[in-house]
Amino acid sequence: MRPLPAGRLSKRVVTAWRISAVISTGVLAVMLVAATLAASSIFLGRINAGWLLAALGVSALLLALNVLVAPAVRYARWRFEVTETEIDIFKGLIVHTRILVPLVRVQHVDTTQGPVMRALGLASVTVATAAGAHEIPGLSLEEADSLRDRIASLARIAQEDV
Amino acid sequence: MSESGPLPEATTPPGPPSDTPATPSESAPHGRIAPGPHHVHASYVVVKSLRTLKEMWVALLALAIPAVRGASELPPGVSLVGLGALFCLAVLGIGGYAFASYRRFEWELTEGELHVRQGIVVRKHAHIPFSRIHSLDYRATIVDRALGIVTLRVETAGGSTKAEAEIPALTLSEAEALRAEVFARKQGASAGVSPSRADALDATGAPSGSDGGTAGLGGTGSLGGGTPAADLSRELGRISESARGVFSGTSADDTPIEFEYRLTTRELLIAGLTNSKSLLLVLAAIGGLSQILGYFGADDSILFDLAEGAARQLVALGVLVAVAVVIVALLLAWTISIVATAISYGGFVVRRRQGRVEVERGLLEHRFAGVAIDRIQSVKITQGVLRRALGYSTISLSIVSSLSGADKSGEAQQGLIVHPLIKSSRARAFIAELLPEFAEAPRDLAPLPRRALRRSFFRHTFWLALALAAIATSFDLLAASPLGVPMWLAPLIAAVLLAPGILGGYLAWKNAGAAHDDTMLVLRHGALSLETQIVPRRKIQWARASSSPFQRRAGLGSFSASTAAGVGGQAVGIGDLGAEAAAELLEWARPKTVQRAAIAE
Repeated sequence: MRPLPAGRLSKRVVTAWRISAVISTGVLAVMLVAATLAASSIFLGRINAGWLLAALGVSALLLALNVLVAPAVRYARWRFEVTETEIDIFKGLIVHTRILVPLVRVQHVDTTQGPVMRALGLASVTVATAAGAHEIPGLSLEEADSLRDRIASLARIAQEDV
Repeated sequence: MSESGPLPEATTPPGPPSDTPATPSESAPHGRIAPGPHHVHASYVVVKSLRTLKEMWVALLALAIPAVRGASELPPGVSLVGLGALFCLAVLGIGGYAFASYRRFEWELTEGELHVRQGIVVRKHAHIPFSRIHSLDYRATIVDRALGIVTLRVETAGGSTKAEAEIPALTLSEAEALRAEVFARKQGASAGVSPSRADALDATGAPSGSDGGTAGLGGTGSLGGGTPAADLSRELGRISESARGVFSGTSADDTPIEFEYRLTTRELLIAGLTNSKSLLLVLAAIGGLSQILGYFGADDSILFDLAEGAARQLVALGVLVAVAVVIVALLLAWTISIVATAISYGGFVVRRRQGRVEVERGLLEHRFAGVAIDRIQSVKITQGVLRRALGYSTISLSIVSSLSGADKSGEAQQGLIVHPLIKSSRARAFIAELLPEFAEAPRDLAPLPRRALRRSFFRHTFWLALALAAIATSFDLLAASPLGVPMWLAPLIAAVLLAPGILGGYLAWKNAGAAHDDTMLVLRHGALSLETQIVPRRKIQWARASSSPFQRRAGLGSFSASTAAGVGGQAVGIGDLGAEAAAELLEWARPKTVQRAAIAE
């Protein structure tokens, strides 16, 4: 088996993922607790402490997993490398996935920034092929820009192998 | 088609305009199409009017009904004359509009582009460079066919399902000439850019003289395994091809045909009998019959106790009638399905012409679709349950959304069918003849490792088992033994209920397989039905190897490869390979050429 790709994401991406997870899982947790309260008062006519505790417990567990565990594991797993012929990606929290995009197939490449990433000075590189796009998230701005340019120039000169 | 019955007034006199540019069927100075702008055929006015009338028939009927029912029933203030005038005005308006759009519509072949100008209110002018044109398909409704005209669809790269431009009412020979011309120029243009591709085309093209190609028709006999001359479907196909319609002109595409295959009547009938709807019909019939028999069977103790003799006979009669009704309904539905297949696949011809595959089909509505070999993303051999039982397959080509657009049927998503029904044992031989490029693809597939069988059982029974467990526990909560079943029987019942899953898991494991050589990947999967995909390595947009925790524990992994087929890509994959086999496939997908050193900078 070929060794894993060498490139790592910026360490700050963990923070970015954590913030995103706090927001998305937080919303989920609030909805879960609200739904429990509603169900409890509709079906029982009162607030059931047991149900509420269960909902809070599940919320706390989800938050802990998504905010504390998942981003760190995901960061530790994420590897990428752009060689002269292909983009090699290894990632995956539970299902480990190795993706290979030949540079001849790259149609265009962009850098994108969400609000969280922007606040942390990070950017993602998105590589589009005729069959969908792949993202290398959480690179520092300079790194993302240079990677984008490198992929773009390599893709331009990459030749079809037969 | 319901076009036979519109009102006679509908056919607004087309008033053939005297200043129509001459149809370019005469030999033109450069190539087959005369320079300068062309109008479409004048019959467009009639066809377009008819189509608009068909769309507006409700409104027109509303105007016509009072006229039929008589003036007495008209609401006050509305006179028959007024209605008649309105009706005539509507028909005239439709005809006038059709005539105006006919006058406005122009197409032109220039040095490197196809131009299409159209539109009365909003004017459109499309420039389509030849190099971007991927396919020029055409279709003709039954009215079009009688007239000898077709609607040409120009499709370009980009993957949008909508055709880039549509040229209505071209005569058949114009359409053929346009196709031949565009592809000839396209090839000429690309030959300058990449000579290697032109070489590849030459190698496979083998243009053995102008007549030699068509003489290759004899080769079809070997595939059909019968005497082609005596076959009804093939004859019908030929007749329908030679009956080119009133205005069609003479055949204009003279590129040599390297391979041609026509569907036989037998194949057409079997295709109709075994299409995907047939299985449902059979199942429905079995279900219906068992229901009837079960109903009468279960009730007989009560019924027969009430009144012996007469009632018994009455019941027996009832059963007979019900069974007969079901059988007749089944036969009827099946016949309809066969007829539908015969209509859409009647006169089916697939041809290889230089670097392209062409498919023509349809007894009433005629369709012509072509695809460049270069655009084929994968070749698919599908065996539905019924067809597999009878030893037949369907061969189709996955292409970048080109047949789609107008028909979004499941069939369009299936790709371009190049043989609707072939003996499974002959499928690869047929592919080798039609697509020599795919002939060398490996045939012996490596099976999944033994340790993958457990995963397959798990995959196929997990959700079923979970559902059963959930049902069992919920019954347990309500009553200890809900159906009067002794508890020791429960595992047995569960096993029986899980049996289909276990069988499916075993079959899926046994059928799955993968193989690859330098240029081709072959994957097969399916339990009762079977699907084999042949994917050229060059068409793989990206590849992926993955492993879940379960797979990692068993030393397994999955592999999938995405091609640009369909809209926005399509993945073909195989699960539960050995981990090293998945890694090897990913390694195989990796680009191999070492690039020039200078590139790095």
